[in-house]
Amino acid sequence: MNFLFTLVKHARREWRGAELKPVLAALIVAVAAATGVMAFTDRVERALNARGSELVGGDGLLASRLPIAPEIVTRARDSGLKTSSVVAFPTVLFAGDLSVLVEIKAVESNYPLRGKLTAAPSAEAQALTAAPPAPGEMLLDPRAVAALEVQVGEMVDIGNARLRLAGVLRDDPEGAGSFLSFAPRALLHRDDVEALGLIGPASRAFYRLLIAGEPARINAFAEAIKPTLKGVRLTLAQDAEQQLAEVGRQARAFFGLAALSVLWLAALAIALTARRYTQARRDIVAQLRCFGLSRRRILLQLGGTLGVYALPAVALGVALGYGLQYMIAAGVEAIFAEPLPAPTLRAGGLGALVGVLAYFAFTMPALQQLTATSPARLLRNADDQLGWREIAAYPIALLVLTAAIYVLTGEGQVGVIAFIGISVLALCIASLLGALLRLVRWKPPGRRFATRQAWRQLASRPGTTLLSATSLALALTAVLLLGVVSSDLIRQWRSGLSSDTPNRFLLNIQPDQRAALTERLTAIGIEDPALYPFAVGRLVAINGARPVPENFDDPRAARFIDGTLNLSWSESLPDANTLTSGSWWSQGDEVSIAENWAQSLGLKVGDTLTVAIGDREVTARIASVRSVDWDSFRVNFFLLFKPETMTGIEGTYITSVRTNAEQGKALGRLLREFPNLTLIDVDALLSRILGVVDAIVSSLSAIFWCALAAAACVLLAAFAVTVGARRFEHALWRSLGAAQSTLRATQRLELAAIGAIGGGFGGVAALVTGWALAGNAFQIEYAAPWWIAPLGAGIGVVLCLSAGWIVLRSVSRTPPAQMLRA
Amino acid sequence: MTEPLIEAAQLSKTVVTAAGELTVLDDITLSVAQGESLAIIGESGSGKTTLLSLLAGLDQPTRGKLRLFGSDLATLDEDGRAALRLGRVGFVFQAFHLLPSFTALENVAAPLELAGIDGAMQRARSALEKVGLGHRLDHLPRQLSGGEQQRVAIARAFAVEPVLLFADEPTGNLDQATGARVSNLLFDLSSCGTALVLVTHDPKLAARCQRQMRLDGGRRVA
Repeated sequence: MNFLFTLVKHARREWRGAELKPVLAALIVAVAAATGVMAFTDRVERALNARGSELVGGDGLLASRLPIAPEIVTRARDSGLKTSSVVAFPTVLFAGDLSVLVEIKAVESNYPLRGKLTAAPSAEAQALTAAPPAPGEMLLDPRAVAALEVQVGEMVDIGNARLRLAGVLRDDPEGAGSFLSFAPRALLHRDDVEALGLIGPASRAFYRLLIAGEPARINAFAEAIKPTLKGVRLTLAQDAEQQLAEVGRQARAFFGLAALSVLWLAALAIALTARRYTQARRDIVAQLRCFGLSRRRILLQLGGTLGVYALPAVALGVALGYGLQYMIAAGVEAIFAEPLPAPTLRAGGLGALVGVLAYFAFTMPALQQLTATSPARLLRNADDQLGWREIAAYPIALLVLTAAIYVLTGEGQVGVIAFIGISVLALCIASLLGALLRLVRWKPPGRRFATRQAWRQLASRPGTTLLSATSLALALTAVLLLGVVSSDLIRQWRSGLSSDTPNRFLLNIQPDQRAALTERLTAIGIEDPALYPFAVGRLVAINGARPVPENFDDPRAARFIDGTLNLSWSESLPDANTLTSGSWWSQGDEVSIAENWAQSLGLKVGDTLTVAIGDREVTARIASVRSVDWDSFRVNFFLLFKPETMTGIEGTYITSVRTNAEQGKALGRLLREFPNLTLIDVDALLSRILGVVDAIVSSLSAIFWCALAAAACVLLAAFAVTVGARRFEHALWRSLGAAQSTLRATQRLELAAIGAIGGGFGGVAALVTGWALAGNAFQIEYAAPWWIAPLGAGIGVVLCLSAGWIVLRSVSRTPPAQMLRA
Repeated sequence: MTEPLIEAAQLSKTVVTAAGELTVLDDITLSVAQGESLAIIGESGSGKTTLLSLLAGLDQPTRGKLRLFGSDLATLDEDGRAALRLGRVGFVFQAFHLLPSFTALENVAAPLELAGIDGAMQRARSALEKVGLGHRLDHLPRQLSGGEQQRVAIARAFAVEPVLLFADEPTGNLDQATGARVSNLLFDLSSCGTALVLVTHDPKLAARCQRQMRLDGGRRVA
């Protein structure tokens, strides 16, 4: 009781000092960031886990670009399994003058085999369990209902048919693409598909066969069927669950690593402030030791004081963390079709634990050293260099932090590598700044005393300057890269596309429709569209031997070997293609292949390929390898045959066109005349993909703003360390005759310079990263937003001046007479 | 006759403590003329340092009149008093008070730059050479001995060629031999016309000044 009373009294006294507050600020930021990220990633993981079994809509599924062979269906039924077949393809729905691009899913009456289908009588009404649509009816996603402005009971045009809207689709258990759906979905009966006239070899239809039954039978069937599958992918529900769990783990690692930057800076701030806190107490501790107080008692008292204040700080950090997780989730939630599960206390608690671990780990070394203070300090002036106890305690602190990283990211090794990476980056920035400081010290710029003195002080306190500027640079690099450069890069990439890049694909054009379609396209202002023949095939042999995916290093090879191939044939080399080896057509059956395809399968000019197209097999020698500009958004193929080689092959045609808004609408209306065509709206697809990128960027930004807050804590801590020295300097300068205004200006200039250097460095680093991304990932000429560097510098100046105002404003009140009393 | 640099009349300083009002200095009258040297001596707690801080305008008296370079300090605020010292007053402190992160050269150049004197670095270099530290220009204070630090402090004080120098126990932190070398330097440099106000409890040092003033319990006793 007596101890507690002393502790509270001591804690109250400590609060009046300036040392404790920055430690607590750093703790609050660390706990908030860790709690926010943990709570958020837990929500994502639970959302994904809950969908694991729903994703498949059965206990397993077989998927292919070609119809599932009837023998497979029969074999599944013979194995005692229930089956339900699904075909999915994109098309356009019409209601009056309105149209919308949707993903059609045609299902059988027993759909789904697992899970529940729910629908509502209107967009606002509550959803109830629903039967799959009967022939002649459809269920439609709320986004499509809104786009078509239709009510349940009204008719919707699709292909050659007209179906009645039977309800608004809510939950669809077979969620292939449901939680990351790019286009609204429409469910209709399998029996209606043929009448629509929309399915053809090039219609981008996907066929799936759902299977359900006892686990033993499922496994036995899967084992038996696997070796015979060609171009068909088998997924079991348990695999899907594992895959989603993996996605969840990756999300946790991804956001956890982002939060690592916050933890890194917060740990730095905690270590710095704790050291200052203990240094200021060395003489008191020496006295207490001299009076006979035990080391343990001193440790309990000081550690207890830190603990007493840690409690409310952690509570505040957790509360802020929960607020933060809503900000992080707000961005990502837009990707999911439905809200994420509510956050749990457990996840938040774990986040708080991470923050508290970092707090105690990084205050302990300094405390340890403090309690070891010798009473002899009172007799001789010992310096305050790092002691061996403190140095020895930091590796333990790092170990504890490693454990914290593991909790945060779920990735021990990657987390530690990232931690080391941030440290190395910080070291590089610090080295560059260090060189700059040496230059400044050698020849301080400026003519005014305040300017020269500010530079000189900046250089004479390299520790403070480097810590502050480096922390600012690190945090601002992340914030500016995500906040400005990334969105600017994407915007420039997209506007770069818009000049003449095709934005609509038309597929499944029948040979007899070519002339009429070209005429109609010309009528709406699309001149001379290039129509390419198109067929679907499967790779059967390379140089006469059947390829085995396991023999190839590149994982994409399996997809090329097991999946279906889109083929074409052409007399001339298409635009956006360049030959890298071989020559264009000469003698015999020949094929030209894309460079990346050749690399994946280890092919070269002179090799032969055998491809099965329908019931025919075509063997051709590789005449050339082409580099293809896939970013051109033109019709491009991995395999391009010599027309003579493909004689007798019946294909459909495909084209890509550039349309403006009006032509886009006209193209939609054109589909009424040619209902079998499939229209792919690249603009809409790109918007949806970029929407996802934006959502993730905005979520990450929320975390990196925390990094900036942690950097502000480092600034507070680093400036606070200098308070004593600044008071002394202020008194000295005043005694030498310096005006108050001169000294204030000197201090402001010094702080502003730290902010400008650190912030400017952050801005430049973000720009350089942007350039590197533009050159390598986006391959565009990047008009970099140069104003980011001054913006970073400006933010840095504001932050440093604010931190200086908080911590250093008392310095100017130091009386000059103090010089004679020190 | 030229005007005295310092004119103090009936100076008193009281401070408020928990036990009540405490008189630190009581009724001190003195003057210091150009080139003159005055030693203020007395036991610890006799008010020597308080008097020095009042005379230098670092603190304000509770009662009495004080003129520095002919200006009434009571009419000036802290900035005004600082401006009065700028370039004309030097200080040598007992604890040296060098800027720890500045080199010896930067420490000596600091008041020159503050006063806006051209060629500050050159003058600082020659000041350090005068005190025998031309080979220690780029050393930080912690790399110098106590005697060397005080010599840097003396170089800093004389670099601006002050009219008036205040020294507060300049040899208090030094051993006897080093203290003697430092005091020789101090008196050699001030012999070129700089007035010196020296606070000390070393009778030998005090005896080198033209005048001595003894304080006891805040009052002048001799």
